[in-house]
Amino acid sequence: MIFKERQSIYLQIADRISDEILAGTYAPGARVPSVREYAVMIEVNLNTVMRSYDTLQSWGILDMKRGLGYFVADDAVPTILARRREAFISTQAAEFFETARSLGVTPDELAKMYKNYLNEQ
Amino acid sequence: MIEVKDLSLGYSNPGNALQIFEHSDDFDTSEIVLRDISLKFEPGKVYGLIGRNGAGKTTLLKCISSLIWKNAHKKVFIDGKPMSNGNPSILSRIFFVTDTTPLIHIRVDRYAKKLSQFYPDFSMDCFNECVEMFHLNYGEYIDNLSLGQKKMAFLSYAFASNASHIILDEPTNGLDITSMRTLRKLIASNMTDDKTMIISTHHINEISSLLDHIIILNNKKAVFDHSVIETGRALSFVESDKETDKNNALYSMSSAYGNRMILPNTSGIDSEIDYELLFEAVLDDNSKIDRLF
Repeated sequence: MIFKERQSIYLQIADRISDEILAGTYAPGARVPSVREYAVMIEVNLNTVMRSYDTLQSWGILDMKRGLGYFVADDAVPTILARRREAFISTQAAEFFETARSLGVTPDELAKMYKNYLNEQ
Repeated sequence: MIEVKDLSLGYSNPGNALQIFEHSDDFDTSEIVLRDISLKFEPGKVYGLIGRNGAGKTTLLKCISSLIWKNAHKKVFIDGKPMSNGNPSILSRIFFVTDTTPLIHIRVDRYAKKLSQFYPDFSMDCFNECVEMFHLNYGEYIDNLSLGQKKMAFLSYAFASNASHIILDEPTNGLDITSMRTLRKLIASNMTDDKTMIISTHHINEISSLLDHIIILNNKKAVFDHSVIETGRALSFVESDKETDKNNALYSMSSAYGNRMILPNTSGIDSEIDYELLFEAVLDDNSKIDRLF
């Protein structure tokens, strides 16, 4: 089954900034680029980036300090990982299991595949 | 802010110049170009204007930048004041980059100086930055520039003018890939809360990431007039190979995977807009789409 739906650009940008925080580009406590700097860098509308920053703030990933700009929250990394874990279980895993079921892949097979995968890492 | 109220225009007699009609019932014998257009262009927003060839995009842009001015004062308002052809304090609030840029024999930098006398907030710093980013030559004569370079020169004047209303008719025409990216960066960096930008284009995907609002013209009317936020919230743009999805679709188009479709957005998560699909759907039957707003 193929079903592709992309989230709105402001959510994609929020995801992208989260990736950058996980990768260490912006460390906890560090200032992130201004809305305008980020908009110019990725060639996107200012209001869209503003919405991404607002969203990240409401998720507790960025902190806004009035007059200074946006900073990475101290516990941004665990917050991002918890959100992603939840999204993985509710969405990606569900799609994966649906494909496994439709192709007759058994739970034992899946468990074995996952164990092998972890051993190879 | 530019407001257009019940704007209708056309040719009162074949061969006559295009004119704005005072009353919509002046139409019977005329060739109509735009009918009953009412739109609001607010500060701090970037508007994308799309429509098929001949839909009246350029004509609408000419009306809101005073190039078609007879009766415009009754239909077009800029910051609450009626549009006028001769009033410099109103005209200096608008910079219009036309699709076919004028052929004038003057150096790129000298024309900037001339314009700076007309636009009180003209910024030479901004002009220099634009020229550097586009890799233009200050000493070149405008009429010697290539099509794309001419466009870049006039885009540079537009941003440098600091006019509160920047109107770009097909700004991506003639631009190479790198210059297109430069244009996107310049739009993002020059946008402010008190500026309005209106961009018409046939290549919506080239500038879609910069838009706050979408207007679609079809059959002489504005058939779609919604913000990007509203659109992504009301509609869901998906690609699926399941026939059951197709049955629920407001509009669908065949694709390599199955079908590209527009569904009512029930997920609570804003969807990324597929502009091509939206355009085709609105042209096909805009009432189906409009019902969800």
